[in-house]
Amino acid sequence: MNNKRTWVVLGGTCVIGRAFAREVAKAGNDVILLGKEDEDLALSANDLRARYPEVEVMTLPLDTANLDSLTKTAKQCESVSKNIISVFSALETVYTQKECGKDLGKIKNMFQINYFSQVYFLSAIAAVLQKQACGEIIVLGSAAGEYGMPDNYAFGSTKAALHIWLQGFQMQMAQYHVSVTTVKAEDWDTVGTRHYSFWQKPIDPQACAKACLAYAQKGAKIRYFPWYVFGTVLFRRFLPYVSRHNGTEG
Amino acid sequence: MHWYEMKLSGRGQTNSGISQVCRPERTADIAKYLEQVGKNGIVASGSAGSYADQALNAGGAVMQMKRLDCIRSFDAQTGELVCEPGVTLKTITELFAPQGFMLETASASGQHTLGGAIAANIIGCNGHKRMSLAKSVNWIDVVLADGTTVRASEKENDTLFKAVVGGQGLLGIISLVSITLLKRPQENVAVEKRRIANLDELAETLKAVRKTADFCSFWIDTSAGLDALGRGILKTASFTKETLPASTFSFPKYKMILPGIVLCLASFPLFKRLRYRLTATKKTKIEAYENFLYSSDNVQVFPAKGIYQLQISFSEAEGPQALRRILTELAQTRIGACRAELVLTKEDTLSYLGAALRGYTVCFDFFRRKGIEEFLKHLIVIAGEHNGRVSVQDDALLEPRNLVLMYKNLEKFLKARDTYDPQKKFDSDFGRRLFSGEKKYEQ
Ligand SMILES: Cc1cc2nc3c(=O)[nH]c(=O)nc-3n(C[C@H](O)[C@H](O)[C@H](O)COP(=O)(O)OP(=O)(O)OC[C@H]3O[C@@H](n4cnc5c(N)ncnc54)[C@H](O)[C@@H]3O)c2cc1C
Repeated sequence: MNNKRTWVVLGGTCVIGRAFAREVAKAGNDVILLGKEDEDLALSANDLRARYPEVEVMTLPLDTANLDSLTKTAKQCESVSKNIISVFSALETVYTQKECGKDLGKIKNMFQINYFSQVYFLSAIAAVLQKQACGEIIVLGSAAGEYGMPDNYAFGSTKAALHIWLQGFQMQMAQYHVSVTTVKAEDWDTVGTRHYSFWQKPIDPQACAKACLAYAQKGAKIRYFPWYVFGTVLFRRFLPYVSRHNGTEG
Repeated sequence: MHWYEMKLSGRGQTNSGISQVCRPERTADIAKYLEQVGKNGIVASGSAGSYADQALNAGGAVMQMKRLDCIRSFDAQTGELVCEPGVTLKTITELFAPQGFMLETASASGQHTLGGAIAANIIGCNGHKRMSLAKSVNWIDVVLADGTTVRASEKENDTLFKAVVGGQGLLGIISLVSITLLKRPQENVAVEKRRIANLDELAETLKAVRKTADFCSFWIDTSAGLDALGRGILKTASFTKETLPASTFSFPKYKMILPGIVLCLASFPLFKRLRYRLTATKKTKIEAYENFLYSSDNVQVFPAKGIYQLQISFSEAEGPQALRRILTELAQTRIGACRAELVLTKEDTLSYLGAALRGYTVCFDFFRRKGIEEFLKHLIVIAGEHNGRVSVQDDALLEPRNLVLMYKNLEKFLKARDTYDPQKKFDSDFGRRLFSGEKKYEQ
């Protein structure tokens, strides 16, 4: 990437969104943070301004409950940006299978945020990137979308749907020289209760953000983070009955 | 509000335990998590750099603070930085050193969080000039057991301030910090390393160094005895106007991750002798201040069996005598320390549970092996006999009776804890080891 970018960060108040915004601001790019809570947005924006005073940081509210408003938000992004627009999306909400079992509304809520909001926003901003004929889109997927597990298959299904949509979207955007990178992360410590061992640590948000940016710069289509998640996915897909535990949650 | 069950261990791998862990991402969430705390209470954890049980709470809860890492404001005129406690020292240096600012304390590692460093009241190799980190803290916001947030400083709620600073998380959670960064005099430092033949030479040299050098640390060859007792390498550094040499070649810097066996080698006399003979140079090396700092971060060792750290502070008067006794013990018993380092300290610490005294602070790392605990307890007794204080921040072996002898402000600390957290909602393995059962403190 040679030219300065304005990175639109969806989920700019969550830990990975913040980490990514810091990473791109460090490289001298401007940032537009999109998020739900005004107070959190102001906090994240102030943090960026204090760290990198020379970078322009803007905030815009994101209303995931009102899908039609996302088209307007995409337009606002275009109007306030002075540079080439690129997008990072870390929009995600997570409920364990137990929580979903108690309240099916939680599944709907997860689809609303993890799938529909991103699909609506990316579809809206696609026109801007196509016009630019360059730019990057990075979306945070999940290894949970690759195979069903007893403790999070509802969450996994939202990510699986997103992965398939992104695959097609990537091909479409490639015609306009816009790269779409799906980063499938694991051990993203937001779901359920887990025991961590010496070798299996929850992922470091800053390291993940750095990797996401590096993947996009290389024009990668799909990447696993950390890299060894690819092995886990292969193992679980080909040996499903060996690797899955017989949980009865949900 | 998510809780995770995790097995946590101290950096030294000597202590571990399974706890319920939470990771707030907003300061407002701290109080919400505190409402849900049950048996065995809760303790904050920064980057878990403490060697032993300071940030562990087996059977209880642990609040990991690293995700509270937003910077709220920075005033480039006054150097005042207001930030959340999860910001690491390295981040502060990376962001503000290029603008000409530096932290008060030059600790050996930059991985520590600001909250953890304040709760341990860390000192660095500039201890003889700048003292501990607490000196540069303007105020801290502390979330107490009932969920309220109280601002504390040397002027406002000073009892709480002196108990929280160095208090190992036993009074509350530090949720926001205001700290003044110092103007860095120059961009580079001139580093010198020289051999010191024995304790007498060391005492003489340190007198001069106290006045002249900005940074100073002394590596001790603990295997040397008799006339060479206390020999080692003195590393001093001072800010300089000189510019970096136009270097022709330098090795790329990688973080080395080494197995515990390396530590074992480091405690062999032969290794120490070689280091003593080969390290010191007469040349002065000019280094960028940022590169000079955080020397420990280039190497990470995974000790399979564990490491104990013993850090003791002595007054200027008692220091030489005490050091002579401890080093004689080490040389005679041939128990090799894998690291032994001495730094100077400017004045007594202000915190109730802080160890630093005006004089010397010596720090030993020992590979865990059979009989080492008894030996270290013996060293703790020797420290006590010389009015020394074993620092609680990385120790695993202190007992309540040692604390009574060493910490003259212990009563004040306990009183503050009773006032601000009578139900002991904030507790840890460390807290239970040293503070459960008030009877132990009757003098
Ligand atoms: C490689 C290395 C080098 C070191 N060098 C030095 C040195 O030069 N000088 C020195 O003095 N020490 C040194 N230490 C010790 C270290 O600085 C302290 O143990 C420090 O507290 C570790 O910070 P942390 O963020 O890892 O805190 P942790 O180890 O996670 O926690 C330390 C204590 O602080 C409490 N705490 C953490 N965050 C908060 C919070 N937000 N609110 C309230 N309490 C909190 C915890 O409960 C715990 O009791 C070193 C340690 C290592 C491993």
